[in-house]
Amino acid sequence: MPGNVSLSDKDRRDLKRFALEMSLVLAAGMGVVLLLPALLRLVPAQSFVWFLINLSPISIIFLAIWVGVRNDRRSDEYQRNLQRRAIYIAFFGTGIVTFAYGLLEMTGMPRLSMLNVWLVMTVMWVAGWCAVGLQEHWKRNLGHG
Amino acid sequence: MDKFTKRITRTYWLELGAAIALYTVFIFTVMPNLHRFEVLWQRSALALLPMVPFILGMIAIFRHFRRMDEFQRAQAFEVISIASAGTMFLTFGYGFLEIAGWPQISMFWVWMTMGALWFITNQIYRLFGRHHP
Repeated sequence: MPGNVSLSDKDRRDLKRFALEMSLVLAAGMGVVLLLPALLRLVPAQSFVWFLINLSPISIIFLAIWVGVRNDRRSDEYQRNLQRRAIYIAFFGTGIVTFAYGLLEMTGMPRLSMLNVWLVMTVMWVAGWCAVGLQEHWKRNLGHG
Repeated sequence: MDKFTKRITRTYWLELGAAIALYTVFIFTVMPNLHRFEVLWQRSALALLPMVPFILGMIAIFRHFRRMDEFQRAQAFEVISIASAGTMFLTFGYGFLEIAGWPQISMFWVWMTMGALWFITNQIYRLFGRHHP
């Protein structure tokens, strides 16, 4: 029954905290990316500082990984198992998608920016979470648990 | 290496090796004949054929994970997390360098990066990580 899949208080608190931290990081990321063109105009093109400014959005990835690690530390064995399955789907799914596109490039499809890769990874991760969530839901509600 | 690990590792390399062999056959038969097909969808379908052994290889990896014990599985997961984060970091960084004028490279580099990071992290774990109890 639907009542069986409710989250515990701890789950809810952890999820809220993770969502808050991740939103802050993403907001900071948006800020950095929006400010980037203005910052780049301040320094001479192709200079060392210019390259550093260009690479500055990487810091957001570090922050996002840190938030992920913090979330992982808070979670229990069960949650970690779900997380593990979602990350496997993200890793191998991204492998499949980028490999397939690499093959299509040979038939004449245009080369795409590497900035698309983390988008694919993130989408695959969310898809992984949905798949894992659905699987758990079925397990509990269809009596295979 | 204990008996159990030896046994599952042998099965793993047998399955993965078969997938890699099949992949090599596909690449050498499909890719040189690609230009013979004029219609885009036919060419695309043919180009995607090596996906079959690629996915078979992934199934071999998943089967290997299933056979592992709890400790090995936890370690395999840590390695994959590190490889994922590293790939995200490298592709994201390269994306910004592209804006700075670096050439756009093939998407093939992504899974090669993933594979390389996975292999390197695995070796580091094997040499310096906690060992099987």
